[in-house]
Amino acid sequence: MSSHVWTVAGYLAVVLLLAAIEVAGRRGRGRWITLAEAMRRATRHRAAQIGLVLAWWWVGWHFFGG
Amino acid sequence: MARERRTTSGRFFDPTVPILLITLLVHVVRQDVVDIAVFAGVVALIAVDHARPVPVVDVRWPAVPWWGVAACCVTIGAVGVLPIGSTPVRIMLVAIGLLAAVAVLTAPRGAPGAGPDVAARWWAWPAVLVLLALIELVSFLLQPDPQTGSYANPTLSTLLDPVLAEPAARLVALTLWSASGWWLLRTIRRPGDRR
Repeated sequence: MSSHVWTVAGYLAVVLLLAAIEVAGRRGRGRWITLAEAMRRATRHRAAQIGLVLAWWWVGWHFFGG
Repeated sequence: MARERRTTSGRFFDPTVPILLITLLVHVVRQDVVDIAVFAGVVALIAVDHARPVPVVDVRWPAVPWWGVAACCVTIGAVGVLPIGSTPVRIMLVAIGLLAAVAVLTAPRGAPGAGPDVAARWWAWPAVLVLLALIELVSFLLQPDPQTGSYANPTLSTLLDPVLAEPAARLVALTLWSASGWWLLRTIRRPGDRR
């Protein structure tokens, strides 16, 4: 397979992994936690609050601001 | 109402700052002046914010009036319809960023309660996101140059930019982006059992 296919497969694998963790968290299996719970845990720290807001804004800036 | 308790709690060197510094390094390689300025500025902001004592206040996320919802919809619609990278879009994004910065910087020190502190497998999320960052980094390093995307080793931008060029897809993405930002800010400012 070409490197293009491998790269896209890598991104898809990440998406599937994230979806699987979210589903496991919602079903309460094996103490997995949902994305919302992980975010609440991360925002316990002040620097993380600012960093996460920056990350969110930068995604919008990067993809919509050109 | 403000309670004049002042605190300097919080750690400066939690993983956030090293992550931002690594990202800043990537932006230096990308030679993107705006991104360099933004990330360096935020690292400096975190340092300043850490050093200053902040009054702890009871903050309630304000009920959004109808005109607020209308303004959000108009903004999303305008950003979705206008060309990517146009000046009005950039101005609106900067305005949104400034509002978000005010919202997070005026949030109470500490953080909302996160429920029971069980030994949950929280590490799965950052682990997979690190994997994503590594794929993105390798793809970026294999580009012919920092400003030119590669078909053979596409970054997420290379893959998503053609999709987002379509107004309908852009509107969907903007709606998701706006909703996630609203949720994040509301979570950060939520009153509750803070640490």
